[in-house]
Amino acid sequence: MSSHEVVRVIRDIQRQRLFDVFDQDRAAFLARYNLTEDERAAFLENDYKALYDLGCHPMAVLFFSQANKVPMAQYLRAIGAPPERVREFEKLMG
Amino acid sequence: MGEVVLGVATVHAPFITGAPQIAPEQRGRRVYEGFDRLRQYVSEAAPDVIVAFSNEHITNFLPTLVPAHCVSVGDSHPTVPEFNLPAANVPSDSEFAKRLVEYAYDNSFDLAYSAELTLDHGTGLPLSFLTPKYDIPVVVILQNVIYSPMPSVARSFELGQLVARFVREAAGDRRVAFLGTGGVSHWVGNTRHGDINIEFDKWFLAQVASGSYDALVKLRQQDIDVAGDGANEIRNWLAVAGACEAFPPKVVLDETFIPGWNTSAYQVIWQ
Repeated sequence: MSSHEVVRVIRDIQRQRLFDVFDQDRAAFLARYNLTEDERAAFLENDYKALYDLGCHPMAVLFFSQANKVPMAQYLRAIGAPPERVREFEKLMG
Repeated sequence: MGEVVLGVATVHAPFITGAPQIAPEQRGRRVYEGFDRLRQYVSEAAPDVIVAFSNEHITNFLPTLVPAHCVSVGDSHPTVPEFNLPAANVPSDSEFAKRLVEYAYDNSFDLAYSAELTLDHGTGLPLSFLTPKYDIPVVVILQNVIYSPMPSVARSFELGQLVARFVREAAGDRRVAFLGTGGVSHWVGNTRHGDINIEFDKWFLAQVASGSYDALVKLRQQDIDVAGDGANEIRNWLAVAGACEAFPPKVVLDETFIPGWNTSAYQVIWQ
């Protein structure tokens, strides 16, 4: 498990403004990093729960969902937040 | 001899600029008015340099190499244009910063330093309100409040004391203001995202406002954890409190829990 490398991918995407490059050819972008197959699959499938469960820093997983323009409520539902919290964010942010 | 002319601590919740519309209107307005007052305090204090105790959000550091406290020593440092914040290049005072690191080494405090720090909303958001023209040099001291383990709260308080001593003893005739950012309770990116600990927040603000920091510097990691991972940012407040312990604190903004912004909004000055 290399959760540090997962954080590195997300930091680079966020801070170097590389999301478009990443999204254009995710497999090629991810090939630059020393990821496990599970981690690579999670990035390819926008599987926030998997990234979360693999030990990636939750703040980084949130940033990755924001780069994908995922609404907060949808992100919270994906990682298993309680339904009342999901509803709260649906109400707050539409 | 240098002089400490002001201390400021403020919330830096990213939705203050990133999603202003989701806060209840009057409460949001009071936060912006709080920032207006802070800007006035800074303007009247006329500092030659601001020392900002802040933190980053996975912008520079990875878990592979984590400094406890890292001083910006470049001639300037860029901000991240996130949450509707501008892309700015914040001027620094590299001579001051490097002398501070030397002073720290001579006084049993081993600070890391970097000429390449990028400043995210943790620093950029407060500066956008306090120095919107980015015309005051800012030396940033990033504290690790993201990756565990983290430096103790007591160490952050001592760091503030050390920097204030440096200002008085070895920083020439500069007028120096201190800024601390972030907090108080909040959870980020995990299943409790959006939650806060109101009891902790009120207790924390009361302790700061009392001007007696004994209970705060005794906080252990497990005491902070009850207020969420975001509460680790109180280290930035404690550093300012240490730097300004000779001055009485004054609460400028007291807004407990703003829905949508996911934090309480507190602001305090020392002068």
